Amino acid sequence: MADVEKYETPDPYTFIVHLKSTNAVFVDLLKSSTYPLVVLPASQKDKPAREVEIIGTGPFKLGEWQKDSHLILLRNDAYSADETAKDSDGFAGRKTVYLDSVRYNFIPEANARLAALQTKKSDIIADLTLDLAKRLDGNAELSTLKTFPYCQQYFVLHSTNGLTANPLIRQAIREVVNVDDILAATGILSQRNPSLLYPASPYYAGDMATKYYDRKDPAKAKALLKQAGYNGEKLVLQTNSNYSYMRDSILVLSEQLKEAGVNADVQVIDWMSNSNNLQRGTGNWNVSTTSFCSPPLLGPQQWKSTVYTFPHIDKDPRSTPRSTACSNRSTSQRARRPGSRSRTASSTRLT
Amino acid sequence: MIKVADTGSLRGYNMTRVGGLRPYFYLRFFNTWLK
Repeated sequence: MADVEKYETPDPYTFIVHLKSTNAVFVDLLKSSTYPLVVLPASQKDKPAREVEIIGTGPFKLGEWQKDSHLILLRNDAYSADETAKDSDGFAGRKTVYLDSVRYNFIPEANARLAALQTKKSDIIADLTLDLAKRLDGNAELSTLKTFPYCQQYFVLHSTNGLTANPLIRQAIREVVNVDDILAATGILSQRNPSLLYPASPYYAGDMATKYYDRKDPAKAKALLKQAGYNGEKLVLQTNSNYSYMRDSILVLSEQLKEAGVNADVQVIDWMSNSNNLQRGTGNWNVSTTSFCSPPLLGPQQWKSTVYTFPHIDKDPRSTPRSTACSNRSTSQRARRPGSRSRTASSTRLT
Repeated sequence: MIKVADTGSLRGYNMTRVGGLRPYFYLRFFNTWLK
């Protein structure tokens, strides 16, 4: 919303948004499932984003929400479907509700989710690993649903803190990455793709990023480390215990780094702290990992408004270090500049 | 950043209870230009 200059409501049915500058994805963002546009009553307008009293004015209304346990949605009998549309269409169209209620049970452990499906306590379960999905093979009643595009996973490098402030060190980290080994360890549904864009995106530019992808060249990494003046200083890899694929991919990366002679130190913390550190540059880390979901579809403009607002991300890819020598100075405090945007953990993952 | 991979959503479902389940997520919410 940083590009919004002002709003106008010339009549009860017209809402005009004036932008300060061109934003190619603004209309797409208005219908984002991550940050959907909603109309708030005046009584709620000053509340923080996650403290708004949710009631539900669409086809469903809120029934009951016990955080960390379950969420119940009830059919909203006061809702009027768009009879002019043939079918539902994203957030719009003709939305017909055939169910009295929908219950979401929050079950963190994947085996427990699968057991809930197998014992008919759940009708749909999310986030299956490939190994667990095999247990449904041959079952006449239970099946799997694969969805692409969904998200993209990245290693995020802190480009203003200690070792990784040096581009040569960052290049060395890139050289050790063996994608297939990482995917085998995480066990999640995935596809190899060098691009920051999904192949279905209109911004997709083919395989131009291939030469930077899946390098698996520890010898080249060693040469870059030598050129950088690396002398066994500790490189901090930070991850979390909440998302197993993030933890496992960081553990595999640490082994790949060790093969190139890097003194890799893995720190496993909780996702909320990990996420805050990722966004703010705090926590004295060098490498972490997360996923981005809408920027790979919406393209460069959306990437610009997410990652490039991180205070610790090098804004200029052509930048070079003042010296190629390594430095252990921590600039995480410097990175915490006033006005830097912070968001909560769940929103970051599904950005 | 260093790209790892495109990750998908893998769900399990009961075909008797929710037959005809289709992928939705981003393809449905950002579908204006996909048509």
